[in-house]
Amino acid sequence: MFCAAGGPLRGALHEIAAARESEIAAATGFALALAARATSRAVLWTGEDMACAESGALHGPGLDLFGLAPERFLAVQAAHPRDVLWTMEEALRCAAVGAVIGEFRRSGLGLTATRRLSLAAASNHGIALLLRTTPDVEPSAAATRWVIGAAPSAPHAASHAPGSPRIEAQLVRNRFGEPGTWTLEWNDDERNFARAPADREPVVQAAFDRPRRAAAGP
Amino acid sequence: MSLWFKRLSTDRVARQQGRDPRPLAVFGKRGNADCLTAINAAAERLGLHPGVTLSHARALHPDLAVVAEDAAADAQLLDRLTGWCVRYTPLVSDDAPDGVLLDIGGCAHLFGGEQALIDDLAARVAGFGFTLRIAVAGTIGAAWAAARYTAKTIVASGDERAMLAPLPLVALRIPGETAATLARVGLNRIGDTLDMPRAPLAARFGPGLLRQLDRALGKESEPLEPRLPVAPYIAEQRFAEPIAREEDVLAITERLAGRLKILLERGGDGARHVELALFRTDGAVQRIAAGTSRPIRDPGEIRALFVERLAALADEVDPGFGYDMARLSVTCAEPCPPEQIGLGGSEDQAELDRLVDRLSARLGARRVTRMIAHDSHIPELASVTVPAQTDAGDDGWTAYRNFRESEGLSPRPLRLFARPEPIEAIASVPDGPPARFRWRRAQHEVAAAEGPERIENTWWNEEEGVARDYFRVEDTNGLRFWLYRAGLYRDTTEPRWFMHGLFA
Repeated sequence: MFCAAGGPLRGALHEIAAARESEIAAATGFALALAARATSRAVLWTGEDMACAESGALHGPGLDLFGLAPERFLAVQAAHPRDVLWTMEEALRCAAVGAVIGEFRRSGLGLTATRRLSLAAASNHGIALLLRTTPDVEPSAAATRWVIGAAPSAPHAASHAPGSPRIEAQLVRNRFGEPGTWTLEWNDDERNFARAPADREPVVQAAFDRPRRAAAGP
Repeated sequence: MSLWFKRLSTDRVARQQGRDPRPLAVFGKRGNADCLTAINAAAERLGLHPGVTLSHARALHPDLAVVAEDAAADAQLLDRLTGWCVRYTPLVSDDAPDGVLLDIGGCAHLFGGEQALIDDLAARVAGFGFTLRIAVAGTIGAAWAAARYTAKTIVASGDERAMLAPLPLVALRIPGETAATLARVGLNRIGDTLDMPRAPLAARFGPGLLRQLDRALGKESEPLEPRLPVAPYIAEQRFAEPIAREEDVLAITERLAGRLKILLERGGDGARHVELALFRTDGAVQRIAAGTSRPIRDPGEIRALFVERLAALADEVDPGFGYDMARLSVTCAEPCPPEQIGLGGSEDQAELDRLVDRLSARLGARRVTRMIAHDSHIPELASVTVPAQTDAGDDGWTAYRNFRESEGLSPRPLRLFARPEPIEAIASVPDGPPARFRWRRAQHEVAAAEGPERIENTWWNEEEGVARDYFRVEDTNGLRFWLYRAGLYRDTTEPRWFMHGLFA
């Protein structure tokens, strides 16, 4: 449901962090779903060599099941974090790329780097996603900040097989609205995350688009 | 044209240790004795020559400086000299151990004739500190012999026979043993064999001698095998004043690309791989290559490639005292119909290609990848990453989706480890999923599991391992893993478990 509101996410930088390093796959899934929904153009992932060694490389058949056709997916492995930033900026300025995911293991990119990425994202109306292995407390120019953790699924009663993937999504900072926390479940038919059915807690208002011009002031 | 670096080893030592007029010799083991293998001019004036044993030379001249030979360094130096000679002609071949061969047939006029080319080359090589003998002749054999055994520099065509006749037989580039055998029967000079009946010569000494003779005289052709493949399109520029600034290099690249464009258009080709060779004034040659994902001709695009390459190589490209020549070659060209340029199939695809080229130029082509699929159960084979610049045609994903549906493959993980990591797992049922396992020092209690999905290895890959039983498991914290047991349970008493991937 949040991803359905892809509109406000475009043209901005978003930070998606795994709650713990072992939960990186959940954060990856959330980022990919966001990217796949936000654009029909190409999606580019970039990360350091270390990212693939530690967390595994993105796997085509898995991406396909997650709603992101591998045909429109490009991966760039960089030797240095500096190259990851450069690749993100280059890709964001390319009109054929709709979403760019940059994976960082190190914290503290700083305001300058994140602001540059925001500007690059705004220039082509693309979506820039920073994927981090752990939550970052450093200041950043990102429009939203998410902390994503894995959540136990509802296993099939008969077979005891794991059910549809569930994640715990915390929106810790939101320039477009209120922060909040949700348990989301992957809906295979809609190829999207939706609120988990068991989640009966009151939920804050969903993120909505606050017109950017109004926010900027006269 | 044959170049002979007569004192390659000693010149190399002198270049490293500074010029020294004193006698110097390089020695190495020949048979069981240490012999001099190269000497400098001062040592030659003392009456020494290569082949003298080291102890003998030391006894005669106690102050002779000697250095052990380093064949690898000599070979490397010759390789660099060969690379440098490419500035005169692309048809260059090294002639181990101490020579270089150049085919200047079609290019001497560019330098104002053969003599002018020789003068230019000799002056530059002397500047680098090498003793050089040059000879030009109609055949490789004649030039080779003239450089080493005569004082001639240019052998006019037709004079080969007269020039060769008084030379010793080893000047034919025949093995020393053959020459020694010939000497035993009284044949010492090339002239002695020229008019002999050919059949007995061939019968006695093998076909090698006659072939070398024919090649030197031009009766049999001997093609020069260029060291580097000759590029189909080349543009080059020499500078009166050396250039060093990056902007100048880029400007000249664009100008050269402009010239190449005309040639490419005429040939109906586009560049897939371009190489910029920068010739430094001190003789070093720097080569910068860049690939593209589709044939291109536009000078601006070629320039953009080198902007990234130069930025990526920032520290490795050192202009030193500047470059005095630049050459841009299209090392790989592909047919490219004129209407494709500028328009492309779709504007988006062209835009994406340009991005891929830029990224590949800066980071390396193998780092920028896309995925192609194969109809396979084996996860490593199902999806393969290939450099995004390669044009693989069909990427196979449509076929893979049909395959997945028809085979009913279980879900595949989002992230896959290139190397499955060993884990310690305890299964409650012998061939069932693990009840708990330890991965990267963390204990995981399995809450839900699905499997096994048995994936058999291909029979031609048997040493890679036997069948694997894959399980999709979720631990009590909600982390989802793809792990497998190697081998069938009944085949082994201690099954090995591996972590292969992570699900969202």
